[in-house]
Amino acid sequence: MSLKPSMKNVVDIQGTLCLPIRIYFEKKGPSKYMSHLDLMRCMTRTIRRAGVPIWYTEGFNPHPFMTFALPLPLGTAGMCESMDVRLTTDMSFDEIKTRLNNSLCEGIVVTEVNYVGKKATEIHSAIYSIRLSATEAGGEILSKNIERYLSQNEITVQKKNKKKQLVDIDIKPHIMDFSVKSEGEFAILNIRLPAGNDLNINPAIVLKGFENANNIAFERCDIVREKMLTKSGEKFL
Amino acid sequence: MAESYMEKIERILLSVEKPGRYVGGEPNSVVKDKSAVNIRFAFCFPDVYEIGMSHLGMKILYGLYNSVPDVWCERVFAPWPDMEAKMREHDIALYGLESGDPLREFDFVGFTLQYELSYSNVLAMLDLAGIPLLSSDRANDDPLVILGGPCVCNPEPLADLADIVSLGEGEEVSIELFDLYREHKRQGFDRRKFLRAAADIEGIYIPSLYDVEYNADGTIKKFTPRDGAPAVIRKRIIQDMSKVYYPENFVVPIIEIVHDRAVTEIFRGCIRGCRFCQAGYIYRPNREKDFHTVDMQSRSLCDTTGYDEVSLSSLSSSDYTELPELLDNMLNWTEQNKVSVSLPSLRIDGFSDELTEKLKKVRRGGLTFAPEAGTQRLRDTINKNVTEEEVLNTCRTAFNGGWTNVKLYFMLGLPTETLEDVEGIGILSQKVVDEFYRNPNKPKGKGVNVTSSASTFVPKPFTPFQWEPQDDIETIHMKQQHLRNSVKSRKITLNWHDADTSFLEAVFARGDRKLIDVLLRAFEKGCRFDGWDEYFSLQRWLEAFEECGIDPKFYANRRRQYDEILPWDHLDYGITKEFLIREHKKALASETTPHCRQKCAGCGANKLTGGVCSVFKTKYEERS
Ligand code: SF4
Repeated sequence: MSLKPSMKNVVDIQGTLCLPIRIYFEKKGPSKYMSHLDLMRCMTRTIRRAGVPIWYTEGFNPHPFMTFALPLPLGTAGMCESMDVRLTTDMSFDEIKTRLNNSLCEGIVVTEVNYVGKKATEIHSAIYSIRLSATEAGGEILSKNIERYLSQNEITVQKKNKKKQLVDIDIKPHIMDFSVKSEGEFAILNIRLPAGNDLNINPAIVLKGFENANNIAFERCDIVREKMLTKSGEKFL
Repeated sequence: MAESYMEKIERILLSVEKPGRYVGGEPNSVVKDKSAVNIRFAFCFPDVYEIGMSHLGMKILYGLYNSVPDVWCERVFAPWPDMEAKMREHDIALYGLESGDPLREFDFVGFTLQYELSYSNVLAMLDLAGIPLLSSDRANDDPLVILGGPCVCNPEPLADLADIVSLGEGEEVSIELFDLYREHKRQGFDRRKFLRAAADIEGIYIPSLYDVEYNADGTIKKFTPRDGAPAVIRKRIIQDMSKVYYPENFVVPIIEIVHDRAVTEIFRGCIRGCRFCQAGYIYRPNREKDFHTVDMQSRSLCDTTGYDEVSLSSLSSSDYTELPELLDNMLNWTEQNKVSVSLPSLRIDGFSDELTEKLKKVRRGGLTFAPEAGTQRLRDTINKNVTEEEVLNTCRTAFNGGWTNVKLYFMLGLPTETLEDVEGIGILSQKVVDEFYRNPNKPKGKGVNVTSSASTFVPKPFTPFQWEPQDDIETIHMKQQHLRNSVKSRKITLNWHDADTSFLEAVFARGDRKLIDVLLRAFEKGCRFDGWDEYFSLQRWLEAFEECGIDPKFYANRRRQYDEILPWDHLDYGITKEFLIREHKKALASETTPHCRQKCAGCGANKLTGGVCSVFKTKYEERS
């Protein structure tokens, strides 16, 4: 069924009626080894396979219009990922969700399809949960050491600057919140860090700093981005 | 992939490059219940994921095998050296991407041999899988190692490694082999009995059933079958390309691969007979797929994969007799669905005006020509029917249309090549540059860029040049230098292939069973990914040859006599030795041979299609 100008949120884009929608998904398992570019390619193909009609850019080399809230680093899982596309035909959100889930690769699961909400630029921080293990120490000792490390007044780690050079920074003022607990051989760290276009701190650099300071190497280091929050602490939706 | 396995490899994935190569889980990959299947097949491509996943033959057989309910075929690629090191460090055996199960648990471990420089990876993969490298060391319950692909037209360097070699096209013969295996498994599997029985299937070669004796000079004295195995093994071909299985979907990779698109085959075999080109001979005779079938299959593939590009695959697109009809049909839906059609291997003498119009809508890549040799004399010798005039005419039209980049492909070291022929490469490249500046309509403010690439000729089995020596490395270097000196214009960029890798390729292309020792030694010395500049070391290989007391020049740089027994003489690829000798003599006299549709050259491949050559069964005949 075609879209009508009277329908909620329908806009006219270069002469085509479109409904901007947001697709929320999880990216985990094998899919976390896809780069952001891989993910864009994968989503384009999934949408084509699923027969979800979306708007393509005009011009010589048309490509599907698709924007992502905030890229995930390679190897990090995400539970609150989202991308925006523009629907060109009326299709129910449930139908879109089912169709996409039937043709997605292992590890990517669409959890919800909805109208577009907050702007991606409103993303201010992210909460990560990180499962860690090391051969040198059991879960309990590991979590105590992490607790101690993160409680220091100053924590110097290395971060790449815009010129891709490694520079020392004090990460302490940026750690908005954290908690550590042990679970068998694992230490589980929950940490909230700045995220978004202005300042984005990858938890991997904090963990690297810990490894260097304690002279150990994690055996497992499974990072999951659990939530993205706005400045006022609301969930990004 | 099974949870337990993923758990195991996750430890190492973040410390290797491109971990997406090793996790599977792609859309359309096939996962079956292993307790419900009888035959587990590990399809191994002895190169990295991005290369192997681009390979059409693997996609076809993966789909076909998995279409058999009790067969589960999985994919395996060569782990990059960083991953291999980590796997060894953590004691992780090579596994199938779909299940994560180690290869040892499979019934068949198959390798497709696409190029000789991947042989060291075959050894590395078997070793990493914990499977004995030599057929004679494998126990009854070990997987059966089966080889296929174009290189098995001379499988002898790997003969002692293979349990089974499958000659020619694999679709039908594999199914017959599975049937036999199922039967033997039911009766209590005996490896030797099974292999003996398999030798009776046409297209199946069991190397262990043959003894080779050598003369004092290292050439072959006698090749003797044992246990009543057939003296000559004939390759298999598919009779009807429109009826043979073709996959309805492809596994869609989650990381970028080399050729990331849908592919439909339009024909097999080539009518041309360029004398240096092995593919032009070993896939004979030419067999076309009906254009309706191609159209349907392309559409289905795009629907199931979500690809927005479909490539029509063959050895020479413009020789497809139904190209206008095919494009008519395809452009109907591809334009609407925002799918682009690409036609690689388009010959320059293939355009009619009608076709040119349609081809404008098709992706043809850049403007590329493969004259292969610099002078008409040498082009006649290699039977490459491209004239200078054709190249320049096409360039003129293209320059008029705004093109500014031209790529030319040549070979150095072709039989009978003189320094004049080498200079000819520079001269032809210069003429293309001149053509650009002569054109009054040339794009303003832009210069022309001609890239001329010269690879090193490698003489291959089943070609008229199979008796020819390869130029030694010093001669090739001298010719490369000569070529460099003969190019004056800065508008011409010269590229060449490393002569060292071509030398190794030449050794294994025409090698015999003695070479397995060298392969084993080279593998122990760490040879891997020889097709990759960053890993190839000729020095290491030369040491391996030296330590085994084998002279590689015997294989690469020696002229064979017509009456010498060649290592692949017991294999029948349709074409006869008499034909190849005839062609070789014509080559030396710089005489050309018309292509198959102009006149049958009597190569012998017609016996594979029941006497009448399939070339004359196509619609081409009816129409002309
Ligand atoms: S039999 Fe004749 S027509 Fe057929 S492939 Fe050989 S040369 Fe060509």
